[in-house]
Amino acid sequence: MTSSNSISSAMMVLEFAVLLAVFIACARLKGVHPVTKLLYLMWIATLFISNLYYLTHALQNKGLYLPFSAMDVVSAGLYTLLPAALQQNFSIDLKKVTPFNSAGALFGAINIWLWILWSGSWLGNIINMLPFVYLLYVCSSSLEISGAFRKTDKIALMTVSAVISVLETVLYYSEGALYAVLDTVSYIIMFSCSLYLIFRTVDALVRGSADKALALSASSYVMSIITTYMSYEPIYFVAEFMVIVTIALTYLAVRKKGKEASE
Amino acid sequence: MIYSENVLLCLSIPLLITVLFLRDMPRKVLEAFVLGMIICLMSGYISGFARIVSGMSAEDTAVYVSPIIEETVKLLPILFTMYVLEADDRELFITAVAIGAGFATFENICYLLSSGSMSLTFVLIRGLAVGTMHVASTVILSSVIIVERRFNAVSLPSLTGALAMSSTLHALYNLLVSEPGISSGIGYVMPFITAMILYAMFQSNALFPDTEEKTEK
Repeated sequence: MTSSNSISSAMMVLEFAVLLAVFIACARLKGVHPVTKLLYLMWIATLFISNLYYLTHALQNKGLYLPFSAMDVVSAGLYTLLPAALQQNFSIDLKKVTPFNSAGALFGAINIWLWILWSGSWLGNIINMLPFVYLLYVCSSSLEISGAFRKTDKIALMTVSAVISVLETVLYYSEGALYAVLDTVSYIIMFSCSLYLIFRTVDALVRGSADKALALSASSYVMSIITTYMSYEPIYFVAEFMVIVTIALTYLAVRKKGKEASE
Repeated sequence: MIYSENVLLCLSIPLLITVLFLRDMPRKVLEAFVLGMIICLMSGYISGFARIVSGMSAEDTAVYVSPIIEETVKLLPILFTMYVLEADDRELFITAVAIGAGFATFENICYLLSSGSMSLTFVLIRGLAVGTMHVASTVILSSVIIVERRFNAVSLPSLTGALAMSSTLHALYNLLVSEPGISSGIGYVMPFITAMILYAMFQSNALFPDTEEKTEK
């Protein structure tokens, strides 16, 4: 077994453990709105089942996924269940368009376009485009509604999103030394953004309101996912670890919401 | 080769005649059961079409594409029952379970006709695994819809999520049983365990939280 496989297996075991623990703990939570709780539990269950599917597929040595498979549908489900829970919690009106949430949606669409460019898998990514745009739109709206982001934060995040989009597009067409430099800069920006959102989530969990923690934890999960999809091994494993941490943070935010409602 | 349409006619005609003599819930259950058998045949047609169009092998289609098609066609009559027939929670749940049972029954009959039914072990596995899988998935789909409807929260994203969850569970089962050995063993046990967990939740009323539990946002 190579060291890459060992780390990958360890990450998978850790993610299974976290998902199982979160599912059991969340099922026992009191005070959270039943629909928010149901959608959140479904999101965790779908993550768990999709990981099992991925693991089984890898163990059976079935090779690459086909142009269209259950994995594309599960991604669409994962991208819709979390924002559906947020939409329920924040009573988000999708028709209320703001510069910040439309920038979020645009960033989502650009990400899908970049994944098509990088992977060459267009069918699955096109199927997932609308759910992913919806995910980023709702996350941006929840950051605004909860008051987690001030004007300067919003401008900073929109700028970072634009820079990442441009960098990743240029990276696709570059090679040699330019590629190495841009790749490093891109990694630094994406990881800094993810870590900043994680830090803000922890801060909101300790000192802020549950709504702020919920919006920030979901956003940090999304940013970590984007970082994961745009990373290669061994940096990929660090991004994957961040994803696992953010899943745990979303649970802590939901728990805080339940506690606040019970008080 | 078997003629599925002929099998469907043979099975459904006596059931449809029985429907004429029934009223209220038993009638609805039987209608939904026949509908489940019809949509099973429809999903077979769509899967066959997808296989020809995509150029996949029969096994790849069964593992990767059929779960999505089957779960989608099972969801459609549930949505029809909710939106067009405006069924209440109890009616919707019973209809969904009967659709799942009809689907599983017809699929099992076609499978047994084509593969034979001499091995009791094989027949039991087929009944407890695949049969249970279709009922469990319709229980999951209808439960999610019922809970959301009680709180006026049925939405396209949540329905997509529920469909994705049931499709993935189904796809995982198909993937597990596609290989012999321990993989198949886990696959055959999985639907039964899922059904038992859902049954325990149903018995303890945990499947449908009461609207009185509704908390402030």
